[in-house]
Amino acid sequence: MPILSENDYAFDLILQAAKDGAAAALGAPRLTPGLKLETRIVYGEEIGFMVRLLEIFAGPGGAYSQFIYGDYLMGKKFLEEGVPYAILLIGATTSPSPLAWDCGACGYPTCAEFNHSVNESKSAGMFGYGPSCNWLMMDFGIAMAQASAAIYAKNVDSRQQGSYGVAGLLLGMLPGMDVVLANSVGPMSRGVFQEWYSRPDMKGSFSMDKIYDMLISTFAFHFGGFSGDGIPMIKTKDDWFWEPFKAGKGPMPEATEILQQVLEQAGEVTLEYEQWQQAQNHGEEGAT
Amino acid sequence: MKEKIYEFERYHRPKNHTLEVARLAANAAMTAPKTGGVDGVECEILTGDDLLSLADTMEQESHAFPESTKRRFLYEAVMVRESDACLVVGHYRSAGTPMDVGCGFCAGRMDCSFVYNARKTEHGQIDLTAVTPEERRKVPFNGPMCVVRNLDLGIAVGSALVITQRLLVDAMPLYTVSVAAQRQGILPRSWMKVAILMASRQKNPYVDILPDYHLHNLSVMEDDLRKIYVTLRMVYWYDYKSWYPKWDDGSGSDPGKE
Repeated sequence: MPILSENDYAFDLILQAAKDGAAAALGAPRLTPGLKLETRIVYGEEIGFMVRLLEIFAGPGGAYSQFIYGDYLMGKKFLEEGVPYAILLIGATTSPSPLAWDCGACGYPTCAEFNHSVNESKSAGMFGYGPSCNWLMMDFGIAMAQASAAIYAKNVDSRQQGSYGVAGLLLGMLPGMDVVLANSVGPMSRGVFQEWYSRPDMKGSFSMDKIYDMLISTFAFHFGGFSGDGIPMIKTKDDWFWEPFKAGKGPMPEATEILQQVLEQAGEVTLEYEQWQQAQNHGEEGAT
Repeated sequence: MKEKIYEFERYHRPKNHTLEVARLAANAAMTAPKTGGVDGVECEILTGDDLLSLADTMEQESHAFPESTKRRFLYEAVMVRESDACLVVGHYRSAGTPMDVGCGFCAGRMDCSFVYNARKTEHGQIDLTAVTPEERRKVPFNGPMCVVRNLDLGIAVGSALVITQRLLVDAMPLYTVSVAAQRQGILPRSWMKVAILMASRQKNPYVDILPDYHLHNLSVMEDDLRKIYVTLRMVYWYDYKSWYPKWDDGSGSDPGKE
């Protein structure tokens, strides 16, 4: 057909922008000689599994995290409407440290002691694995910035997102990585800085009451913790992080229970994804 | 009025142009994406004598490090002297005001206890004034720090480098220069910082580095040439006003001064 419309080539453009982003990340300037960095581009059905994980993380109606809820709603909408977009995953291993710089930023006086700690106690937090070498992590940040700039140069909407990154990490899309961040690439239907920033499709999904509840809970609070979930922890004592005390809610002993529940549900999706992958591979083998 | 751009110091070097790029790169660092949109990045640009002082500090600091690292300090001190500008990008939240999100990057835990327990705190407020100067000097960067903040710092550095790449100014972020900037107390609020060297020369001063580069770099070569040449002018005492030497075969005399 001699005439093409954006419907014919939108996904090609998005995929090319994601590839440019990946190349920029892999070829980014580095502070260290030791960063192991990998990239993946995810699209189609595979994003569906990520969206399901975000739904679990966000909780019913965004009860656990409003900002993840927004990421979930947009991803769900794009999938349901078949809007072309892709997710560029960028991952890195941030420990052990090969540097021997003994810089101290990690809290250990030497890299050898840091690496010993990695061997003894490497484990996962909310976003990824630690301990981390700060210089390797900064190299990872440099790569993320370079990827974003490359995508931006194509005038394709994109946003760095921890939410889809954690989903990719949990689903094993970048095995062996300690940290994974996502760059959502596209859609490009309304221009740069529309879909993943102002999120026009969330129109009407929350009330003024909710906004004021959030403002009252989070606004300018000296003893407040992370405010991204709309109900920050309050630092009521030195070990505030072990017994959550939430603004407007007081102590939340059920928080640990909710976290456990979220992790179990996430585990189910992860298992389902593995089975789906096996079925896909089996189908491909059968076809050949 | 004509504006001339040459490479060597006896001519106009393009320092102002590099400085403009450094300012734009600093702007890119400031506007780079941040976790949760939280501010934390600050910048300082060093030029001229401040660069020479930075290089001196690197050479002094080099002695505290093992041989392989020491070499990096010495070689990269040369690069500082050959730079037009150094952009220092710091994060003033890395040590004192963590993200509080339990990301796990600092210690693999679901909470921020590793960072908070390592510092003096009062109701979750980290008191950095409790860290003595002696304690701070034990390591170049006193931690533990919030790794998410430092990830943001990396993103800011990456954004700054995008500008230098787009504008074709050679730039290099370096650990050793960052240590020197820290030791000099540049951006004192930022306990973590990255120094980016920038230069507009016809040969990139940050690549193709010889062994013992601190002894065999262009500045040393130029200086040695000056030293040798100036002295060799006095090997034969020659009064150019009164005569012009003949070649051994008798040719080439200046008839007017024979």
